[in-house]
Amino acid sequence: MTELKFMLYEQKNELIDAMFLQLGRKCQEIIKLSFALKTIAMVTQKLGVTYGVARKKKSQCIGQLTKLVRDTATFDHLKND
Amino acid sequence: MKEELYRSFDAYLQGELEGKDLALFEGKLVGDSEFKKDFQAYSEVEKSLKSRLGNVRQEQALRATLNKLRTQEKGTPKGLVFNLKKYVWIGVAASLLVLFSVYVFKDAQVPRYIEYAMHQPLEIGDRGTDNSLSEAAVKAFNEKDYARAVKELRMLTASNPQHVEWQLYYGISLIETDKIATAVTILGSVASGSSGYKYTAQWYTALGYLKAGKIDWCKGVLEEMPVEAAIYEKAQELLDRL
Repeated sequence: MTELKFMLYEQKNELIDAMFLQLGRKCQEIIKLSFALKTIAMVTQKLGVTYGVARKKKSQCIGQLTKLVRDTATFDHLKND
Repeated sequence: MKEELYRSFDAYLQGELEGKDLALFEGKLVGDSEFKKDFQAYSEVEKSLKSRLGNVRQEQALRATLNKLRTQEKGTPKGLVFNLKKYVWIGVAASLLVLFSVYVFKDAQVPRYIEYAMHQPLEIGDRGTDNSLSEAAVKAFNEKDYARAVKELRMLTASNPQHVEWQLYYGISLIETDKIATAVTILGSVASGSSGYKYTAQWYTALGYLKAGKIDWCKGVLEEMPVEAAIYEKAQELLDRL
């Protein structure tokens, strides 16, 4: 059970990483900064955008990444056959 | 429409929704299955990014805990179960031997991934990448330690998204470790690009499908291989055998 959980955790992260590379450079940068920096205010400073724009872009980019990951999930049966 | 949806997911995850807005959001989570699915997917991706980009120590602690638990499970005393297992394993081994003989005899003509999986060694690049990272990836790949190669190349491709060669070898390592779905996605982006690796990536996409037993998909990719590709003849040979 633990082994399975570990594998799923690894696989999920790999898929997310793979899809992350498909995002545009701007989105990649926003996501990285949003999680690496302590506050969104620091992100706004770094990117030179307003608080509202930074928040909006962050959720849009994560949404876009989520969509890419979910679209790829159609390949899941490859693992299960 | 989607923008608003994502914005509300983010606000909820940050604990910013209150009163009516919060009640409305949670009501939708209960009553709208599509909304719930969208939210769960978003939330999972967000959590994954947060745990790895936001707090490296947390990730390391989780890995350490999981590894410790796995070691403990492996070390659990088995007692009588062990003796019984011995006979079960003898039975399983005998059955596998019979099945394997039948399989080899029956499928002697069906091409297998292993026949075509001859990879060019990976070489250390000099394109501004972290040398210690690239050396570790090269060593792992060339020593056929593909699980390690996946880990090393994942880090390299994340920090050098423009480095197509790392992506190609990341894709090959993923095939070797049976992560075909992720592999074909990575290779697909290389194959649709304009680098010198595009046809090699197309070839490996076909091999990924071959390994997964998706023969029709494998054929489809091989049929699209253009004559000018260096791998064209080999692709035709495999296609003829399928």
